[in-house]
Amino acid sequence: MHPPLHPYLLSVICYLLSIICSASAAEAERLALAAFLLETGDNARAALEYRRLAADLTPDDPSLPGLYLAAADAYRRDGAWERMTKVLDHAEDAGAGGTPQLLLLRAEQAEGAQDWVSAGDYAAELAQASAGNARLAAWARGTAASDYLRSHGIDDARGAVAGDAAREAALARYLAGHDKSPTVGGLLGIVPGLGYAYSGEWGNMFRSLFLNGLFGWAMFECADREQWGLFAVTTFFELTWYTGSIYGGIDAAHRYNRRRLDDAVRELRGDEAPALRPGGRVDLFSLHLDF
Amino acid sequence: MRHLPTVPVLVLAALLCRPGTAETQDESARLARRASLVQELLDEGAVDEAAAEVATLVAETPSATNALASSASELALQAGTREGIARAFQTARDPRVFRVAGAALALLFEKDAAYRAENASLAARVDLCRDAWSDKDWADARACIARTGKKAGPRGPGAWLAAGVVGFYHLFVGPAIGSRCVLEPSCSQYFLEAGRKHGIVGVPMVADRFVREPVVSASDRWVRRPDGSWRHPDPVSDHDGWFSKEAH
Repeated sequence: MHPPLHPYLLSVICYLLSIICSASAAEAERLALAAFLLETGDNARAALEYRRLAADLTPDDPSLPGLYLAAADAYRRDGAWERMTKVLDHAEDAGAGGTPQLLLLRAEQAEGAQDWVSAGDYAAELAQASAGNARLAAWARGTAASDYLRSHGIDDARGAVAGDAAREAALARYLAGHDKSPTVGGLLGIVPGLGYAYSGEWGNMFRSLFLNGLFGWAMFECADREQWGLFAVTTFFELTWYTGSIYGGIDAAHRYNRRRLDDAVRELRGDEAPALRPGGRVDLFSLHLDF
Repeated sequence: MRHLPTVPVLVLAALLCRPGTAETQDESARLARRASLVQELLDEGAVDEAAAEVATLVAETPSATNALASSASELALQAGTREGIARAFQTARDPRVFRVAGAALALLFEKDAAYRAENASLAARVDLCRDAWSDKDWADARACIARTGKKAGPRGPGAWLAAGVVGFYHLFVGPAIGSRCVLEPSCSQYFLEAGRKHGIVGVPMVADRFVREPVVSASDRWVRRPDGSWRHPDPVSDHDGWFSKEAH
């Protein structure tokens, strides 16, 4: 699941788009259409509408970066990371290079494409570009640290949160903990349910133990009574639960490690990014009311 | 099928629309930028979006040339969607595109009676043209539909096993107990997808899924299905990243 439009980004894009809205009623209608498409979840068509609007403007139009950023955000909602890259390149060529909103979208695009190192670099750059906004800079540093952590860049993560006591403590807590070994989980899974117990999934352990016990008993009973047809069926199910116990032991360890990392990322990022509005500009809802 | 028209052709076609004045030079520059957008969409693989964009260009340009309009129809046909094929049939100026689009529509109507009933007048027009289609037109039409209509069938023993078990369940067990799974995808779909992607490893994966189901059902995560119902998400991709190269 991807987060909705970043509040800071939303307000700044609307500020840029409001320049167009005052210039032409026809263009305002098309912007309203694009906003409507976004609301209804038709993100690809909304992005196309923004790109079409951008193509209709001259290359030196000051509204161009905002339109490309809006298109990039629409692709972000769809998880279309490659298409987002191209549109961000256009935004950069149009003059949005180095701006906080572009850096934020670049970071989110890199995260979506699971290029954690690049995501961390863009977030670190966002922290520097937002030096005048302490809350945003702190959030960006935490985001950079979490991205470096996902790429196993511990030193880079430490450097990103240097000077921020709370985030340093969160990082230290994560580093002090231990990951579970999937190999050990899989080997323990040879005893039904033990692999789940190794990763702390006690409920899953009891269910796996019960199912393996039940169908194992059924197997032996059928063999004992020489009912070979039923024996084949129960053996099939018992093999399923047994192999599931081994696989589950491995996957449970991976789930444990992923949960631990996700908790650390949540602590490093902190609350939702600050909702800053430059000069009290209109928000998207007001845009609808105006047009 | 011949190659998609390239941007220079589209740009040229657009530039030929109007005589050269200062105002129309701005308009020509705008059309050139729109043509670049079409090429970008094609490069991104969004053929249906490119087709729609060219169709919009044709509609916006009163004196659109035949070359531009033909490009729109060709792109619509190449997109391979039902809407694209129908649009290509109705707007084609190239006889070959018209015939192939018509044959493709005829095939779509044969496969789906409900679609035919929804588009009765279009179906009647398609039926009138059947005699004009050659064997090559039918072959091109099948290739056009096959590009987008291809469904991945079971692959490998694990996939066939999953398909067999799920098929048995849907035929004999499902009708008695109804749809009960609160996870997305459902356990049947999970087994089918795991079998298709990972073969026989799909079997322990679905066993693990059954064991985990109460825990996932108790979580706070929800996802809305297209039919409006809410389910707890538990995709295959959450449990195969550590051994599947596809996942990354």
